[in-house]
Amino acid sequence: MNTLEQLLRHPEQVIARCRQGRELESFGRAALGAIVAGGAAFGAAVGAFRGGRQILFAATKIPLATVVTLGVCAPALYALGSVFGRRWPLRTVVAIALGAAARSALVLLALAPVLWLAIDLGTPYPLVKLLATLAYALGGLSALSVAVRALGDEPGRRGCATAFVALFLLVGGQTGWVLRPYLGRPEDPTVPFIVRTAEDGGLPAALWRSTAALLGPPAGP
Amino acid sequence: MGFRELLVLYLAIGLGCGLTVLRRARPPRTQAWGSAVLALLLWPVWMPLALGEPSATARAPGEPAAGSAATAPGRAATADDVAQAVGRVEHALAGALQVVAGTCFAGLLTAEDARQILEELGRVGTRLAELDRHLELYCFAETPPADRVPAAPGALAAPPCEAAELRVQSLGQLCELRTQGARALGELGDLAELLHTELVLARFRCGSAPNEAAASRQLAELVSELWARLESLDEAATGCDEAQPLARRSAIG
Repeated sequence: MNTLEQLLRHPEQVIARCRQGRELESFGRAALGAIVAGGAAFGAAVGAFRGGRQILFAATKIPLATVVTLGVCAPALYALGSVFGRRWPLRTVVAIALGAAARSALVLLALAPVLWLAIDLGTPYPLVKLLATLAYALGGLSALSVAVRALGDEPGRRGCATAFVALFLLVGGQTGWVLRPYLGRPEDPTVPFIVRTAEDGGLPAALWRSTAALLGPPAGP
Repeated sequence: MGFRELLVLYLAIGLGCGLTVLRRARPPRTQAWGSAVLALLLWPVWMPLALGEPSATARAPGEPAAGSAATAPGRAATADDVAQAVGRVEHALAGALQVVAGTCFAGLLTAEDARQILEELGRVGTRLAELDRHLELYCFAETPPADRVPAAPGALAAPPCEAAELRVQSLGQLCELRTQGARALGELGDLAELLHTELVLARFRCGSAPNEAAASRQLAELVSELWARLESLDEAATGCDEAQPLARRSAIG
């Protein structure tokens, strides 16, 4: 509990601990616990829109998406950090990334009851989607603040932070896309654990198609 | 490669990682089994943490953590005794923090206190390292300066001899300052280790409220003593910068 409280109130102490490489194993356990607990609670709140099995599905998928994203991004974060003059050991990079993700998960944990209440009050599908996105954005910002503080005041801070954000958005977005759906459209009779479709290019291709459809010539009558 | 093949490959690597974690922890404890399970399932994230360095409990007493203040590049010039003393304080504080976590003594020594103590300690260590560098520069690190005073001062007549004597005296003071600092740092290490041991004792002995209150008082006194010694050490280290040059100037003048 002490570590999680530090993460929320004094992230700089957590960063110092990560950079000194002190007791990273126990810190990692606490951070992973927070990621699983916070993600599961938020996922359960999101899944409550459909109810039933979807609560369990979403509660499983949100922590899974976070952990998979971290696992895929860790080596790239290490390399990017080195490029921007942050020659930290891999364990330090992983610990900072875990700390940032844990902070984000704690924010999601705090926002889960709010989302659940909104769903319980009968908020429509598009608004629930928007609220969940906003909650995720808030969690992301809290994680970003940890990453930016960890980068320190040395030159290259902005470039490194931008590279980190771009990487997380890309990998996290794609992982989230693969593991969709979380809410489940109201018109669908059943919601599967994962949407199994033919290879469609993932999130970047979907964004490209949506943009093209938006900017393309309107369909004839 | 399909999803199943990818999953099998992932778990095969995970199995190897889990076994590695178990092999490293001899004898395997409950904590090691937990770590092995995490390595099996989350090896890309967990392995750098699990294999990065031995845990604090696995480190030998007095051995500083990797990348800690005692082994920082800025402290490379510090003599072994100072580095060892700093390492002992760090180790004892890390242990004390683990002991107080989640107990009624948690307020006596917080992570913030430990951070401040280590920060202060880092400053003192840096000052002593600076002293070492100066003493090495003057080749007085091993031989006491008093021995280098000419046997018959009269042989060097005239004021230059007086200046040389004063210089030797000043270097002697520097040597003394360094010895005192290292000794005080060693005592600080003893005190930090005592605090750690007392905390362990208090944690296992506390059963009733009066016992807890008495133990808390005693531990609070120990923490205050630690702070007081650290402050006096810091004052001694920073004070010489202002006092010594003035004294020397007036003596020469």
